[in-house]
Amino acid sequence: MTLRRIAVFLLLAQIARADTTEDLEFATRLAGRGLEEMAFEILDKLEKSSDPNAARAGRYGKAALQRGQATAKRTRYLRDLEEGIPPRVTREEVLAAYADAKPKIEDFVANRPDNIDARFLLAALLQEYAEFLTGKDYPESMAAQREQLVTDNSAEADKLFQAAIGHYDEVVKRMSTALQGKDPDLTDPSYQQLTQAQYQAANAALRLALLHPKGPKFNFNSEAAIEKLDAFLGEHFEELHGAFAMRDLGVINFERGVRLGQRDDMETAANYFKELFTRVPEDPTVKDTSDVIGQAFYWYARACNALARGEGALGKPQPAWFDSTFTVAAQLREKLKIDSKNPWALKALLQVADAYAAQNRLKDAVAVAGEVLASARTTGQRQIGRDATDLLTPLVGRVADAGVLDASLLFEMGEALSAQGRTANAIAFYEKAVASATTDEDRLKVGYPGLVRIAREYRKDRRNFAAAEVAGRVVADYVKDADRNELSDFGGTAADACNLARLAWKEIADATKRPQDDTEYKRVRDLFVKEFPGHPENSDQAFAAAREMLAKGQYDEAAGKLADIPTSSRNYWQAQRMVPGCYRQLAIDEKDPAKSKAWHEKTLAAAQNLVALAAKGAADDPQVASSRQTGDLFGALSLASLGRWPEALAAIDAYLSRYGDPLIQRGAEFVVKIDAHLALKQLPEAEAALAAMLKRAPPGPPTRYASYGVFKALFEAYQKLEAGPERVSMAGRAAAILEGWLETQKDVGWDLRYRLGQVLFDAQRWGDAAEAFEAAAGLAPDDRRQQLTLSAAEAKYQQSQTATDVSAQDKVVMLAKVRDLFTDVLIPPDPKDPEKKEQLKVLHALANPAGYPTRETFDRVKKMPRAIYVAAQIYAKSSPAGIDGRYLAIRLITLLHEFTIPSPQPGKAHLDEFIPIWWDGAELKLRTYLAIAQSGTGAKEKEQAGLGLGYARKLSYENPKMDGPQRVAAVAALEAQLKTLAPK
Amino acid sequence: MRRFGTCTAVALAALLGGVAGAQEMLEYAEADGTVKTAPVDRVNKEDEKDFSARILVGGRPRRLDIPSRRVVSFRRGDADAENQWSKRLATGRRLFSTGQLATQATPPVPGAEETFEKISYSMEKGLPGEEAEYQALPWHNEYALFYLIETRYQMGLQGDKTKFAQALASVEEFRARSAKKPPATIDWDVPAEKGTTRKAKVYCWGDSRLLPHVLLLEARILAAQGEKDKALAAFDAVIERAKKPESPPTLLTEAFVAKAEFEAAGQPSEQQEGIFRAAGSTLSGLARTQPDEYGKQVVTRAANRSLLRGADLLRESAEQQKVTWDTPLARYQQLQAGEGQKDPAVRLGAQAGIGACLVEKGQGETAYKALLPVVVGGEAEPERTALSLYYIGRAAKLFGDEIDRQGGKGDMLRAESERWWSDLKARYPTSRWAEKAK
Repeated sequence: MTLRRIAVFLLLAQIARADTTEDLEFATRLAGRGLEEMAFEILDKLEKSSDPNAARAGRYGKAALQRGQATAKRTRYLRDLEEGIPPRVTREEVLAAYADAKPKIEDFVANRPDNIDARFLLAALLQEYAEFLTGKDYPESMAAQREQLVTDNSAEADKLFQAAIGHYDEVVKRMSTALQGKDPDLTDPSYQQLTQAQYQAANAALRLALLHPKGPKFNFNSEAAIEKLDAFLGEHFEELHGAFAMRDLGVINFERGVRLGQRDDMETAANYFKELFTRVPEDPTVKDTSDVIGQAFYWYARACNALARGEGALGKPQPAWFDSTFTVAAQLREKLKIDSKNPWALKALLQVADAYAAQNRLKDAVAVAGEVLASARTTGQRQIGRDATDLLTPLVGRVADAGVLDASLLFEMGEALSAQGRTANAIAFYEKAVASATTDEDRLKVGYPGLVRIAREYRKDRRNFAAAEVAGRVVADYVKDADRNELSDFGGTAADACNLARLAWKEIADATKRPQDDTEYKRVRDLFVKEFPGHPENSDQAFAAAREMLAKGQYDEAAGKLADIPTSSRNYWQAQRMVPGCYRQLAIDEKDPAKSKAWHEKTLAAAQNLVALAAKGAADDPQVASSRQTGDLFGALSLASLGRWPEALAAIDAYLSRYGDPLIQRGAEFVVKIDAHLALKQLPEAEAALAAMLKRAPPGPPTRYASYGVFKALFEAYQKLEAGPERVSMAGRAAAILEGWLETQKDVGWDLRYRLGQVLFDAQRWGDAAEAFEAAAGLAPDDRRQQLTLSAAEAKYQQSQTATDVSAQDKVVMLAKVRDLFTDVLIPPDPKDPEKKEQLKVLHALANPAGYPTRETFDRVKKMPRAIYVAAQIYAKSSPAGIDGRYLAIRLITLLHEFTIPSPQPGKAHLDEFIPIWWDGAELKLRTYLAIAQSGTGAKEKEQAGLGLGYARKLSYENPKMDGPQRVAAVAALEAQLKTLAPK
Repeated sequence: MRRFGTCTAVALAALLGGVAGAQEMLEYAEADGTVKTAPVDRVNKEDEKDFSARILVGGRPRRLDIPSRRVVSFRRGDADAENQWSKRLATGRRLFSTGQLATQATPPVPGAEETFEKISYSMEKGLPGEEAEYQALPWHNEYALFYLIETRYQMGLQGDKTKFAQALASVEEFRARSAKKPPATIDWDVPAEKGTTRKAKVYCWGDSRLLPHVLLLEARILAAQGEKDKALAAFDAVIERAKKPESPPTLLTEAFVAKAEFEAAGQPSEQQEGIFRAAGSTLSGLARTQPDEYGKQVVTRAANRSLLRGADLLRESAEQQKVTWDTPLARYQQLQAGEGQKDPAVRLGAQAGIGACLVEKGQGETAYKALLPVVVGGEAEPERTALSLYYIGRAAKLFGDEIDRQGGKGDMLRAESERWWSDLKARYPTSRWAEKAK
């Protein structure tokens, strides 16, 4: 949470305490979480409330947020100015944000004068607004614009500052009253706020004073500021704010010195600053005081230089003051241990360098300014880098002593100027660096690289002849050396130079289109290839050639060329990584198993070689790490392809634990592991590996391949299991995998959907199975559609039977629908199929209680597909309580059980599962007989009782064992009851 | 400031200015001509013939004994020295290099002149036990007086003509105090308060390495005063002295060049060219008589510079349309083929000159290619580089047009033209060539 957000949160919380509404609390929380847009919406709503207090709170809340936004915009604007880039927000946007927030907060404070936080916020806003109006914190390079802003806006800023001071003073007054009698406690937030307010009042007075040029207003306001700051300092001498006040006193005295020519004031300023950096206080609330210390040094040096030069109204220079500036560098280093990131420390050092330069101590000036330049460049402080370069540039021209002109520093300055886009000056400094590099060591370190830089600058500037000329010198010197070595430092520099010359001549030849220029280009190009074969640009050609071979399928040749890429090439590691892949491709493409195996062996050897090469490379080089990984992977792949499963598994396990995401082969790593587990009959491990793979690898061929492999293994495994929970569980896992797999497939055919349906059915996921069967049926050819639909119906039937949250009545309704489905499929309304016609006849006949089918009919019934038996069940259970449908079912079933003997005969296998149903039917028949016998006392009823009794005895004698003791007991009980009702 | 004055000012600044600060730096030449720089820890002996000192090489002391003729420059005065007079010498040099020559009246801040003057006459011994810190030694006086002459000469060049006379009087004083086997002290009229003088004892230092340089200064002062005959005589005297084998070759060359500059001042360009060519030729001959390689190199270099200067003057004549461009072109080509083969500065100078002449004759490519090594070499003097930048900008346009005529496309070259001139204005904004490049 940023400080700004905390402030907004606290302020809004303050409002919430005073004017608690749900909306306000909510907005507070949103703002605290950084959701300012949403907070704005809530506050907007609050503002529109009819309750004036709530409306005011809403307005204030919004204004508080706006103020925070204004501050953020201001910071962004100033930072962009400092960096020298086009600002991302405009000055007008920043001012508008302040202008918008101001009246709202003023209104709130006017109505809530006791709200200290709001008043403080207002005072801070007014001060910030005024400071931004007048260009405070604009970079030094925009000093002229800043002055203009002050001139244009001083009247308005004056009012704002006055108002800010007034509000700060009021805060101080109220808080002092509240804290009266308490001992000051630096860690107490209230005390901190009081201190802050007191300091800000004094600081605002300072800003007000600085607003005005020399004159009565400046005199008056500066004295008032001094008075306030003195008073504050007296009370808070030991605190960090005391240090701020001391600094501000120094600044105001400095300005009085410069503007009014008050030398005493300037000396007072110097003394304040000196005092400051010798004793910056240890404030327990602040960890880092280096900024304050840096500022102290900077201002001290500034003041001393101003006195030494007689700046502004000071008039007469007093060069002796430069001696005081000179002491700054040593003391600064001692105090800050030279914190090169501290911009104030660097600015202070620039003042020191300036002083040295003024005293013609050029060696010291160059050394210090050079140090600042180097620090600024490494820490990215562009403005300071520019200031250091600007200071150094004329100094170098003044230096006559060659010893002062350190070649490296001159080179560094060239770099800085080049980075700043100052081509002419950059070239000048590189030239100076080259001229200063008189020793062999300096020539190698600075001289030749300097020439290459010059060539580069010219080339950047599209002066190619010049670029070629300069670069050519380096090459000429290199070529003259009989012991020249491309791999030496000089060789590297000369190679770059030659390449530059080559590129320059290429551009010349292309631009002028003259044959002689083209000839010169070719000469330089050939020289480059001959002298610097290992240069990346040259080896790029070899690499490009290898890639062309790959594109043409010449994998063996490409592998050889890639392996030969020299180590100095920037493509070296990439080339080495491609070698195993070349051999693997050959292995995959090879039809002859023996030859393929040989290529796999070669791939393995190349992979192991790659790992060995990487082991010799630099440990922190990402290319080396990547190569090691590639080698490990191809090693595992090769082992898998060679069927060396235990080794492959060990290799891939080591690989997966060593290397995190992303997978470089998009999951093929896991394929190896899964294949190995499957090959080693480790199905649970394969499943676990697949789960891990699906989490890490993106969908693609490897995941599809692996998924199907594990599925197939699961499917085959559970088929061999007996019915039971384990089978169901395994089928469930297989189904899940298959589902996932199918989701990755486009255009899934009916057969796969049917397979899914089967697996889902085996997993007892009836509803999903029905869906899968139906989907399959929709895609299947005609001759398979019926079967698939019936499968779907069966699954739905099972679903209806196992549904626990469905009432019995609803189950009946569900079954009726399924029954109709069956009927429609089996017996279409106007069947053209003769077999179906026959079926219809039979069913009709059975439905007719007066009719009794012939044995021939029953034979036909016996040959009916299994679906009919299911249909019979469905009929039995789905018909309403009336007798007709049920009777049909009973008839059907009893017929079946009467005329068939349930035995595992071929062709009758499908009857086996109906044994219990058969007995259910038999028991049902008995019960029917009993029900009819019990329904009356007439002859007909007695007849049915007699028939039923005969049937029961027949069951005992002629039929196979009943399907359980319960059945025996049930049938015996029914027999006994029928006996009592039957005629004697 | 006249060109003459500018050159001497530059030379003086080089002598006196450079780095003011810690340690006394010695620049000296080996016999083979290699020039080295080393800080001096202690001077053992220093006269017109011999120079012996303990120098620091890699921070370690080493004894150096060389003939004084091979001392290229030795600036005395150390801001960090224990001895106050050495410190003050360094202060004086610093004041000189920052242009604070005269004493500031209000508030009174001593300038270089006053500082050197005080040192020149000090015979302070220091309290017992404090000699190292407070004792003024004869060499303090010697160097201070030399620097005083320099300062007064400079002040004269800046407009205060009375300083020339004072400088000449100081020259006389230096002579007197440098007499061979002099007494330890002599009486002299030393400056007193309110512009008066008083008699006082002053040190004599006898045989001085600086005396020939003082005599050259005398000639310059006379030249600056417009005393033609006296100046020429003085120059000749110095030249004769400098011809001796023990004399520094730089003295010879400076005297020759200063004399040539003086003689050529105000003359038409062609005559100026003749003067410099004669000086160059004479120096070339004198180079052969130098006793060591260092001397040969120095004198040859100066000879070549004179010859080149002559050719430049011919170019200026062509600019003024007093001669055709062929005349300076031929001279430059002659120099390039001759002295330019061994002297890089002459080669570059000649090349720049050739390029300029060819541009004026409308030849683009050859001019461009002649000028290119000069502008990109970074070795040419600022004025020559500025000239070359100006002309290469023009040559680029001509070259571009030539390419078009050959059937190619010259746009790239024409586009370069402005960029060369942009460099010229950025690097040499006050040069006359930048003014022309508009």
